[in-house]
Amino acid sequence: MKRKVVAAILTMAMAGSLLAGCGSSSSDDSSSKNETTTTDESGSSDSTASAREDFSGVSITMLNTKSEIESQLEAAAEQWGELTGAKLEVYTIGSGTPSQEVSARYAAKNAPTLIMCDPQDVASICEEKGVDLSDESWAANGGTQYGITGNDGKLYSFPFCIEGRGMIYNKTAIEDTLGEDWDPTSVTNMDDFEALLKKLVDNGMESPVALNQEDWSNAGHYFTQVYEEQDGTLTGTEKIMEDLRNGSVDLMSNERFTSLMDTYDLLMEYNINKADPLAADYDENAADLAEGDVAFWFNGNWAWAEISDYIEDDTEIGIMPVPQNGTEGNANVNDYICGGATKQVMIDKECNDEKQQAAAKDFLDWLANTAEGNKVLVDDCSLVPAFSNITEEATNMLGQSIQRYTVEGKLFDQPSNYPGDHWSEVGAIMQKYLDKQIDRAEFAKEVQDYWTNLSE
Amino acid sequence: MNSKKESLWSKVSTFLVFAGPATFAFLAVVIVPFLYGVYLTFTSWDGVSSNKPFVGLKNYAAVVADSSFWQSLGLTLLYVVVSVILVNVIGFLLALLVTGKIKGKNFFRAGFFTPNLIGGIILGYIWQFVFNKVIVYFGDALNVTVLQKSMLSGSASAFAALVLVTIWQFSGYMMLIYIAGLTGVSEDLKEAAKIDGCNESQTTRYIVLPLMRASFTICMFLTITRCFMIYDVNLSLTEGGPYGSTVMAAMYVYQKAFSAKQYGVGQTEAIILFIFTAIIAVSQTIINKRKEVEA
Repeated sequence: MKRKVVAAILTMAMAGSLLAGCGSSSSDDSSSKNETTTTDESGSSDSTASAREDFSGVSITMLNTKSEIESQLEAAAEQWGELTGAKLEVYTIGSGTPSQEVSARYAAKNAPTLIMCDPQDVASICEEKGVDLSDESWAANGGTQYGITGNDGKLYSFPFCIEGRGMIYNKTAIEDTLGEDWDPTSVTNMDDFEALLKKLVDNGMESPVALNQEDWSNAGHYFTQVYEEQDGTLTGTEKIMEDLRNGSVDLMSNERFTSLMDTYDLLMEYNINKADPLAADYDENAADLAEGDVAFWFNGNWAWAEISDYIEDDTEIGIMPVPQNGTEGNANVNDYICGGATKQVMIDKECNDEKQQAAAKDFLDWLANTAEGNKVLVDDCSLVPAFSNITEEATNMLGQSIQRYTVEGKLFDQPSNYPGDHWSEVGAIMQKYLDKQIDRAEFAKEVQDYWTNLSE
Repeated sequence: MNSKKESLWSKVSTFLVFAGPATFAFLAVVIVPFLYGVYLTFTSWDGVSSNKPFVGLKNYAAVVADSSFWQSLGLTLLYVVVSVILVNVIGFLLALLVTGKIKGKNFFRAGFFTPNLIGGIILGYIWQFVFNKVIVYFGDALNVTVLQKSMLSGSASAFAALVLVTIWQFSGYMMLIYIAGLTGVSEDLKEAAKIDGCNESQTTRYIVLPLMRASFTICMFLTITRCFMIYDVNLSLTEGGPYGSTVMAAMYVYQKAFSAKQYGVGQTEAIILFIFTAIIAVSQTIINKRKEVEA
């Protein structure tokens, strides 16, 4: 009983703070609304000039879903606030998916002005809730290419960063083991890769590969390459997804499926977690790669956060494409990596007035078009920016790898409309395969069944 | 007439003063969301959009056809049966143990109860480490093949791991309630039984147990409802894995609503889970209540 009382008090306290939160923000809204009526005439003139438009008294909020850059983003908000007189409050969520947070905030009619979320989140709500960003100055510098365009052809989001995925290699460890120089570009297909792995084993590296067991890594990152590398264009990706839905694809006879699964078998064979692949530990994989116990780890440049905890100063690592045989359908698979703008920022128009929207636009403009803003993205947050006008080099080795592929245009873009449960459902099937519960034909069939069973 | 009116008003005001805040809180955080939830089962809402198209009973039809949901509900049922029995048996035995004649009673009571104070998420991660690393380490060191593979990487053993952690978490709490029940039985009655020729186990069987039925009712109710709604341990210990074989009903509902973005269907499944749990919990309470005796 006592527990219940305590629980009830806690609940009430939390409900109270929620109410308080709503109250204060709504009063903010109304005060800034008043200002809108007086100063709205100027509209949202684009302010590429160094002197920034004055937004005194405007207060906006931003949802940050990259918890690792919380403090950097808060500092940036303050810096921008000093330039414009506006107040930008950044709040960060560390757990839960962005889409849940966005749902909850819209349900409470209290959406943040700037919403950082995943591409599919923007795609699912942009026409209804988003501000049209087609005319922003950064749109031409990569915004249209990497941002999310709605079905109505308008640009709705600011690509916050580029992330790419592939085989992370530890060059130092490979060279130490082999006793000779090694160049990642020397691996041009799966056969080369297999030979290299064998050589590593012969020279004393027992298991040269680390493979994650997480469903998001296997299905969300590895298996999606099958879709994204069909012919390397978004149209090709859309097409195979469409064909999978109406059941007209036989994965077993698909070249990309075959070659990627062949490589996957190879990775499984040399996996350091082979004895019990589903008990693999993400942090341990990061440590193994950083310390050179393994030479390869399939992951993306975000893994720097974990790797940097373990890595020695003189260790050289990077990312390369997943080596594959069978390049008839797409000759670029061994030169390109899969990636794209994985975090998007959209501006809400439902809960925020025009003055707030204009201020939010100005903040994005500041990030993309000023030296200070670029510094925030590249130096402070260690991101790979999506904009071609930003020439600064990424600050960590994985970011630099991705940046190189981005600049050279060797990036297979990713679609923004994967079904929300793709990574968990297909991930479960893939885990069965990883644990050798099913063979490849069964695996292919279950994946096909997943697609054909999708409603609507 | 005037006085009658006053007394009605005074009744209302008394009610408001004493029960008003609680009633308000209960309405605001339980009843209203519940009714709103029922309303959402008739829409095909995706969780974000501002329009919630009305679809009638379509979601219910979808749920009936959703075999994975029934599969996870079946798994949950199995989990509930196994866990409830084991938690209560072990809880009761622990209670007997620490009310008996052993040294350091209070230490053991505190020790057995402590797991219940650890939040489900943290507890799940701790046990994940134990299953994935510690046990495997000993398996390797002692060369016992059974222990060399993590319990969490096989579907049946992951289920067993889930049950194990549940027992570890809840049996201490149930023990506490059983201790209260055991010590609540009057010494007079036990003494009278002894004089009438009962030995120790007969006293427990015929005197103590019938008199502490109320404890069983409470414990059963608590364990049944908690086990049906298990989510936190499920999430942090197995994450539904390996390959989705330990997705309990609550997790399934959550994934349906938020990952698959079928809020209406998810909500419908949540209602069905609620009805299921309510029927089982309430009927067991009624049955057990009938059997309770008073001294």
